[in-house]
Amino acid sequence: MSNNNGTKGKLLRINLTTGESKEDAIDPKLWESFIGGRGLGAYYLTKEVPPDVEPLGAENKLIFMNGPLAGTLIPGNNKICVTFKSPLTNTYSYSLCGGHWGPELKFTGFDGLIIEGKAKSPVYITINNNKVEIRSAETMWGNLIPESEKLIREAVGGDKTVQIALIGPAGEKLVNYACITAGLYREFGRGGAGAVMGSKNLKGIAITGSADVNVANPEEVLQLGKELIRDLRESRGGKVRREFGTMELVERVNNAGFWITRNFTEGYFEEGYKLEGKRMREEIIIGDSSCFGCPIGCGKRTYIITKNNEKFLMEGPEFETVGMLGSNCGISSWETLLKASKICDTYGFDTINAGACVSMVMEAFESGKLTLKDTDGIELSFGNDEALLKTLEKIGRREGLGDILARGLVEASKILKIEDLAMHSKGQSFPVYDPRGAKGMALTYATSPKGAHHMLATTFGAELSTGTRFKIEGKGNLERDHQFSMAIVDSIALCSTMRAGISLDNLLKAYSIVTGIDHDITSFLKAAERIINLERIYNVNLGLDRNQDTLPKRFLEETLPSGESKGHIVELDALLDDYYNVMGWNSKGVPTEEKLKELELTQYFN
Amino acid sequence: MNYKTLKFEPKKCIGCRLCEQMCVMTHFKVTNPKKSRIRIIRDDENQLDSAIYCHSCVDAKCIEACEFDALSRDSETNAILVSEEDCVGCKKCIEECPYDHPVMHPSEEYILICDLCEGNPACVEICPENAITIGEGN
Repeated sequence: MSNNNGTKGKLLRINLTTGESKEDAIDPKLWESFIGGRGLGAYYLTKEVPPDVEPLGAENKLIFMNGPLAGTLIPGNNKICVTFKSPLTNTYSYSLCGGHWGPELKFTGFDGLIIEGKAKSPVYITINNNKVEIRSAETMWGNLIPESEKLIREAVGGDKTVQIALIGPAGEKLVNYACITAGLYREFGRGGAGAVMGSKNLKGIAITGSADVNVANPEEVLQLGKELIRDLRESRGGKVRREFGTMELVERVNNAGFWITRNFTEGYFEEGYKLEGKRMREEIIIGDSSCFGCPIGCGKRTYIITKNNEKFLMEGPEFETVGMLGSNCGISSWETLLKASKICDTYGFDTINAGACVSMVMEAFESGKLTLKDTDGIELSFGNDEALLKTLEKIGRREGLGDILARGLVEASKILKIEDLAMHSKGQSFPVYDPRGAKGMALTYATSPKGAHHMLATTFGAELSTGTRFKIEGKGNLERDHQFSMAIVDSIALCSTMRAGISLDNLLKAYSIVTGIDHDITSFLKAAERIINLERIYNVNLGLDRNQDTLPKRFLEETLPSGESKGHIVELDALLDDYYNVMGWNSKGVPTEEKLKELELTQYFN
Repeated sequence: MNYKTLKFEPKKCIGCRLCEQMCVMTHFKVTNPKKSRIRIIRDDENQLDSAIYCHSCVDAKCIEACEFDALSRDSETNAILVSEEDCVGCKKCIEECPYDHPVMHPSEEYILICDLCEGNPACVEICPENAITIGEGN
C-alpha cells in the first residue's frame, strides 16, 4: 500500500519509562495481511507483548490503531482500536472507541500510537503533529473525568479542537474494568484498558494535528462519500438509530424474552416497556449527537429535572448500560439510570461489568448469602435505586464493598464466596443478550478472545429475522460469518452501525478508491480469518483452550422461567464442536497446523 | 442591502463535522480539519455543537484591517476572497473578526476565509441536518 493514500504508513511510539518517543514505519504488507485497526493491533500485541506479561506491569502496552479509512470522507470511519493484555480477563483484549479522538490522531500524521513502559509519577502526554511532550499530571490525578478533561484542556491553552483521551479515578485506582474515555461520552469501554493506562501513571493523551489525509482518487471519494451519507440517512436502520439510538433494541430484545433481567435469572423485564426507545425519545431526549464523519447521530442528548429539582444534562445512556444497570438490577427509573450512567462515566469504568457486579451482589443479598454486614449496610435488593447508585460510587472510589467489586466478577465472587452468581466468561461480564434466547450469541460469548463480548459477532439479529434463534444447527457457520464480518469492520475501524447503509460492495469500493489498492472479498475474508486465528493463538499460548470457552452453569442448566424464550438453555458442547470444525480448529479449540500454515501464522504459535 | 450568507442553527447540529470534511475535500482534495473554513466546536458539558464560520459582514472588519489589500469582496456571491499571493499571514483580520472566523493555513503563510464556494457552499450541500444553510442576510 502506498504510504500516502488513506494510511500514513507510520506509528508513534512513546516510552513512559525513558520519556522517549520515536516514529516507526509500518511495513506496507501488514495492511494487506491485517487490514488495520483491530487486525494491526493483533499483529503488534502478539509481536511485542508476550503472553506471560503482567497486565498491570510496565511491559504491557496500549496499542492504538486507526483503520485505513480514518479521517477520510467515507462516513463512520471514526473508530480506533486499542489492543492490550487485559487485567480483567488476563487474556488478549481489544476495545474500540468512536468520537473524534481517533481521526485526530490520524491528522497528526500517524496511523497508530503505542504507549510503552511506566512513568515514575503521574503524567499526561501532548501530541501536536510529530511533537510529543510528557508533562506532569500530579495536580490532575484524583479528579473525575470532566474536571480532569478541563484541567488538561486549560493546560494545553484551552483550544477546544484538541481531542483528549483520559482516565478517571477508576483507572488511577486500577479498577479492573476501568475505561479510557475520549470526549466525555465515548469510551474504550471493555477489558480494563483504563486500568492499564492507570498502571502506567498516564492520566491523558491530548492530540492536535494538521497533517493531510490523502486519498488515491479524490473525485470518486467525494462522490461515493456523498452517496453513502445519503444511503445511511435513508436506510431503515439508520433512521431507527437516529430516532432512538441503540435504545431501539430494548423493545425487540425484551419482547423476544432474552433481555437479561435480575442478574440473568430472567429474560423478560416486566417494566421494560418504560425504557423503550420511543419512551426515551418522548420523555428525556433533547437532541442528537454524532461521532466524527457520521450522518446518523445515534448519540442521544438527554435532560431531566430530578426529584430534588436539579437539572441533569448528559449524553446517553446507551442500550447496554440501560440493560446492565436497569433490567439486570430490576430498575426502571430514568433518573436513576441517568445518574448511574454518569457515575460510571465520571469515575471512568465500564457500565457492563459494573452492572453485572452489582446484580451479582443484589442476588446474593436477596438470597441471604450476603448480609448488611457484607454490603456496608446497603439494602442491596433488586429494584433499590439508591443501593445501585451508592454501590457504583463505592466502586469508583474503591471503598468497602466497592473495593471488592472493583476487582471484577471472578475475584470479587471468590472473596464473597458467591462464585455461582458471577455471570462472566473468561472474567468478562456478559452484556444484555441472554444466550438462551439466541444460541449464536452463546458461541460469540464463549469463543471471544476477550471474554463475553457481544460485538465479536452480533448473530441475534439474523437469528431473530430467520426464526432460528433456538436452533443449534448451522450456528457454527453463522458464527464464523459474523465473526469474519466484524473482524473486517473493526479492522477497517468503521463504526458497526454503518452496516445499516454501507454494503460490503461499497465498503470494498471505498477501500479501493481511498487506498488505491483493490482488495477483493476473498482477500478481506482471508485477512479476517487470519486476525481471528492470531487472537486465538495469543490465548492458546497462554494455556487457554476449549476449557475456557465456557458459560456459567446458569446458562447451561437453568431454563429461562418466563417470556418468549421460556424453557431454553444453551447446548454449548454441540455448538462448540460445530464452530471449531467450521473454523478448522481441533476439538480442543486450537487452530490446526494446516490452518496456521494456510494463514501464514505458524511463527506466532509457541 | 440584502445578500447571501451562511446561517447556522446550533440546536440542529449533531457535531458530525462532515461540513469540515467537505470544505477541505472540495478546496484541497484532501481532508484535514485545520484547513477547514468552517469549524465545529463540541461543548460536551452543555451538550451543544457550535460553528465558527464567516458571516460575510456588510461592514467587513477583516477587509478594513488588511494592510496588504489581500482581501476583497466578491460582487456576485458577497464572499470575502483572499489573494494568497498578497496575504502575508499577519493575522490582523483574525484579530478584527467579531466571529473568530479567519484561520491560518496550517502550512502556508496565508489566511483561510470562507469563499462561499462560488455561491453553492459544499458545507451546506453535505449537512445532513440542514443546520448550516445559505440565506438572505442583512
